[in-house]
Amino acid sequence: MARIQSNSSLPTGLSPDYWATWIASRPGASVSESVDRDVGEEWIGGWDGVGIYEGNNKIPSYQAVSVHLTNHRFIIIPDIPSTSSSTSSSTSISTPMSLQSHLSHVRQTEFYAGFMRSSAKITLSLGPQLVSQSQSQLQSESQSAAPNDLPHSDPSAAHRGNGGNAWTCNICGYVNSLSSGRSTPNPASKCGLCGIPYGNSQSSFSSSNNNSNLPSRSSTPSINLPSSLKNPNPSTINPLESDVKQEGNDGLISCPACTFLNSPLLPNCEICSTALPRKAKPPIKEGTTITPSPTTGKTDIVRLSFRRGGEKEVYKRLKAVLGDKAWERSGGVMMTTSKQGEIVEGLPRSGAGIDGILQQIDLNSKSQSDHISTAFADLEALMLRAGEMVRLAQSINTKLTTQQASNGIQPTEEESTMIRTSLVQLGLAAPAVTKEMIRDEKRYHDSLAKELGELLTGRYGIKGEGLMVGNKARGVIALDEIWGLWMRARGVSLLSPSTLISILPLIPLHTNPSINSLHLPSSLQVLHTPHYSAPSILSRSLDHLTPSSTSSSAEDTDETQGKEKSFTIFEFASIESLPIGLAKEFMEILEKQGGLVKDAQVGPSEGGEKWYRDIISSWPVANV
Amino acid sequence: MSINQPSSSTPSLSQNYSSPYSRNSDSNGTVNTPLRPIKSESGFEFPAIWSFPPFFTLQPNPSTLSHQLELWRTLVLKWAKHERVYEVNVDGEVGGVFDNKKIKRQLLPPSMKRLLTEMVKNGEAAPDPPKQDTKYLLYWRKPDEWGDLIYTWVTENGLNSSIMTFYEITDGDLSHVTEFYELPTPLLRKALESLVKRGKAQLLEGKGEIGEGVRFL
Repeated sequence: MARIQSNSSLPTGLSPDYWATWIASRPGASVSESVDRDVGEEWIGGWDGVGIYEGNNKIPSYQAVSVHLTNHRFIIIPDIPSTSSSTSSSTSISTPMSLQSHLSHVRQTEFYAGFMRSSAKITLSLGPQLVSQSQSQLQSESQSAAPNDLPHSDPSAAHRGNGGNAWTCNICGYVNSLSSGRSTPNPASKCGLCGIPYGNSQSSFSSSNNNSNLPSRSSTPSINLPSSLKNPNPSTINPLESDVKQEGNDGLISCPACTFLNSPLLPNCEICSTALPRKAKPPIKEGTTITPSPTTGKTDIVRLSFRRGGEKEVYKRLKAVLGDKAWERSGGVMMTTSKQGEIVEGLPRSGAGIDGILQQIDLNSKSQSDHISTAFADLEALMLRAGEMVRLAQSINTKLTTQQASNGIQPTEEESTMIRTSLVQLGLAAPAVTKEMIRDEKRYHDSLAKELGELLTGRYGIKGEGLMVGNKARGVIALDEIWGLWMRARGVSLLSPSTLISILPLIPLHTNPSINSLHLPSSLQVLHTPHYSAPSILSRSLDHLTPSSTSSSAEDTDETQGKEKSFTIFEFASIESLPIGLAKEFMEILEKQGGLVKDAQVGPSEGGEKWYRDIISSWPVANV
Repeated sequence: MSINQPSSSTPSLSQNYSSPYSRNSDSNGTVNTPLRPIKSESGFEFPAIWSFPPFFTLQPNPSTLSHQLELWRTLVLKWAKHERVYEVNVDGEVGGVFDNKKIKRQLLPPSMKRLLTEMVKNGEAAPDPPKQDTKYLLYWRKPDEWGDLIYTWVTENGLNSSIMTFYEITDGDLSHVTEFYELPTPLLRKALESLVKRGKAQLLEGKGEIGEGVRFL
């Protein structure tokens, strides 16, 4: 076993199967010397008269030893054999070396109170505690071992790859073994279960990741005998039996939550993602040559047989120290490595199985919401800026106003008007109606009136193009229709009808012939050309109704003889080419203004009313 | 083209508003119209305007309306005097001046009421009995004038200080040739009352069937 030899040398006679985590101390060194106070190590106590077992077998050379406990280490110092008692054991094994093990290697402790001739015993289950440690050791070992052993199918190396360093598939949670000689998985290698290649998200996974749990779990058994015997968990009563028991079922591990029998390679239950107890897993120890067989459970167990008592105190102290985990606090290498162990423990579990997928979804949504919130943070910042800009513009406006009010250096009116116009274009309401703003508003309305005027009378003075001037033009258009046509012509940035009404007085100034607005009696508002102004209509109507004095005798038939001319509303509408409705409205205006008189006693067939020229007003009273 | 047609091609406000009245009249004040006056069977000559259909419709224009009402008042009094009409009933069969059968136009009751109200304002008519608007006395002679006429007649006939009944005044043998022959009693009473106010007559209450009497002083 090249590897074992490369490791710290163990005393002969000790199986590396059991003592892998133990280091031989310098012979003859006292305990107090070896205590490293720099990392906070403290000596707790020592007890003699202890015998050591590896597994169930007594170690002949370590049957009279002292055990010392510090808050970091467990130290075994063989008693110096007295000359009188020097027996074959001392001769055969000249002087057993002192051994020490770091308490972080302790995975489980057992207490056996003794029975009949059997002494009280403390059982220590030991294993490599720290993944990174083991990995670094593996790397160095594999490097050292590579020249010699790489071609060989070294069972130790193979098992190391399998148990000591594996990678967990992120998709299915299957623990894949590494090919021999590799400390990290080949990125191209695929999961043996689902075929997904090892990716960046994969984290190297060591099956020893649960080791940190184990010391605390070791506190489950109580000190006194009866309770430990009655402990319902069979694995804690007798490690030998329990290991066999747990792995008897083809090595499957029963999930503590749902009792599903999981592959021992899985860190979590396949069904419910509960962490599986790792104890039944073949102990992962550097340098162990254990094959995955049911007997592997025995290998890392060291028993201390207290033949002179004190076992209770030792166990109490040991448990206290294990629970305290002073070495993790003490800083230095141990602490960092243990932390690394925790990190390594966290990742693969999060990346495995349904649980992992769910966590991945959680992470994705979290990052998405982060992105969104940052994006909206930008937008909010922009809004804040917009508010500042508005305030700035308003302050400029007020400054302008005050500057113009004072007799200081005044900007030219064009400048101020330009600034204000741009403010209005920004959608900023005028803070107050000032004379300047009225001027600006007027200019705006002027331009609107001009635009509408072009629509009505033709662009740039070209005749015959507008709505109300030209061949197909109408002389009178209702305001709602005007608005609709205008808005359709504008297409964009539509105006409210109130704007149209407000620019009505300006339209005649921008139209030629001037277009005027007229309120009809029905409160309908129309635009009309001069041709349809009330005086024009009246004039034309009177022309129509006044008898031509020169040709009266010649033209007038018998029917019309002796009668004043008249027209009905239909005749009027047809004469003026107006819609009947508009004609009625106009006639109402003419009646009220005078010039035409109404006869309301016309038969319904003629529309009920007729209009005549007004000869009543001019009829002399004396002529009656 | 008519000679009184203005240049309508270049209309202007002042031209149009001033022209309608001037151009319908000749320089001598008569209106240039094809309408002709109509003479009734009783010899009353209705003016040409009476044949103008809008004359029977009250005009919307206020100034036109006021002139129209003035024409009507004049026409009604003139006609009533000629036809010796003392009373009109708006709701009844008015006829006469209020109904031009030739052009089939008549002054409708609302218009008549408006006209009579206007006449009452001018002292040319009075509702009789008072405070109603259907029956009116037409004062083509005012009660004062009637009173003067009666008193002059009494004086001329030496009936001073004598007592006469109402019937004797309006329907007596002596009054056949007078203007107040068959004068309606309400109008007679108003005329006598005006005389009483002036101290020229004294009204006597009627006794039974004899009726009321008056003593001229």
